[in-house]
Amino acid sequence: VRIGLIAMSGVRVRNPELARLGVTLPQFVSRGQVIASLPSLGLLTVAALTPHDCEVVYREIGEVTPDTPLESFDLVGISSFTAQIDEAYALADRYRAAGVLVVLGGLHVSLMPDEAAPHADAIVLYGAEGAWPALVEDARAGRLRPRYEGLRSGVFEAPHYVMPRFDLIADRPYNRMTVQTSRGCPLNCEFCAASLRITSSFQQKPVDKVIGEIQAALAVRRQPFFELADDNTFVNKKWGKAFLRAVEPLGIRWFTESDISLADDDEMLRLLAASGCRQVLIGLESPDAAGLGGLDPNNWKQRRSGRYLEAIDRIQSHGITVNGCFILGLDSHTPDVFERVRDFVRASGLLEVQVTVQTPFPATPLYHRLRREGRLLAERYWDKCTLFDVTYQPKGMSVDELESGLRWLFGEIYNEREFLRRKRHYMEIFKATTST
Amino acid sequence: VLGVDSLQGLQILAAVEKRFGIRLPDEELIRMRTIGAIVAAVAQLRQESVS
Repeated sequence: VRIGLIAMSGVRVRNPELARLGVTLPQFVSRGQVIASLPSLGLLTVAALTPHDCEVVYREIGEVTPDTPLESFDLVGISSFTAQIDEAYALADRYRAAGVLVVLGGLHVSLMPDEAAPHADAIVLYGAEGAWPALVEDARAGRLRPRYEGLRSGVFEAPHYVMPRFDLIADRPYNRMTVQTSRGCPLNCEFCAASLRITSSFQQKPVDKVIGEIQAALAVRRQPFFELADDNTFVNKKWGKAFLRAVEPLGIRWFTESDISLADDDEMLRLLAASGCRQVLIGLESPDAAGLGGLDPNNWKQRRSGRYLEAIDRIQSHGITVNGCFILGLDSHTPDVFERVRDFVRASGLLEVQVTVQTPFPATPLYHRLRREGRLLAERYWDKCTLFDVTYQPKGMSVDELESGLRWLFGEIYNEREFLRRKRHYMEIFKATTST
Repeated sequence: VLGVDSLQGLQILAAVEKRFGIRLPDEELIRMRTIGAIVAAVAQLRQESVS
């Protein structure tokens, strides 16, 4: 049996003015290229779950057109994020018309199964663990069922855990590898459309398994840069320190995502720097407390926001840069928020900044609330779930004000002069906190 | 070429500034991708401070 695993890759922006800006602003472009270069860890895991007597082919497709050639497979598994899901459905339809069995899975499909089902012979909900091996056997026996439910917990435990097939990306032109240490996040932010939506609780991979995966990736690529495919790596501080101590001897360079509580623990920060961590991405979301009310059920981020600047300084003083993320268009945001974000970025010394627009991904609590309030601009807008296109009526400003404010802010923070200023700030912190 | 990532590059430039008590021009920070470029810039700044 020849199985094709196809990842819909690339970054999309529909708004033409933002797309134009995106190709001219240096820091915006560089992060977009990085995101586009990340492999689909989900499909590499699916590959590992596939019975050994099957041939597995991993492919990444940047853009699907009606002329995209179809490879010869007995079965294809397609995974896609929301923004590319219609391209995935079109590809699935063409494969099915050609007589190839099609399976759809991933986050969007798990959240919108009834929408996905007509485009597939079978869909997989949640993790592939606990579903894929049986699905392949059923396909071989000619008894494929329309729906398979994978695990929402216990995914890192025997007998379900498998090590992703890093060997399948040994020849990729990009030198980035992804490794996952956890699924889910206890903060449960209203807008989040990440792995917490397909897990029943926070899932932590044992340290020895993570180290084994890093070693396996190192065996197939020379000096890769690792990006942890986590939503919040250091939820469990005891696990975090054990992980950092174990990763230090490997001599790797890596990036991950965390919440701001990382800054609370100096020992953690020392271990983090020694382990080769180059950058942590932190969802600050809004420059001040007023913007953060109701974002998560316990107002955790709001309670933390008063110490954002101090926390960023403390992390960066250890030589680790912070990529601060802001979401524009929260309900408390009025047109002055763009200047406030610009001012915060200048005051903070963040080396990198990520600004996106609030996006009601399907089936998230945010989606359900905005739908209830009649604020979604269209019934179906998945191709605009790019994080840069406005898809709802903001509360404190008009759609035009949000779009134009976003463009203004991009111009203010993603230019060469500001990037140089942020580099200089980082160097001064580094000089003040290191001995030469 | 330095053969380091951009962050390590910044750390090297910061260490050079601290060691020699100089401040490299901000606009040069992007261009300094080789040891030779850094050495030349340091030499020039030290020369300027002496003369």
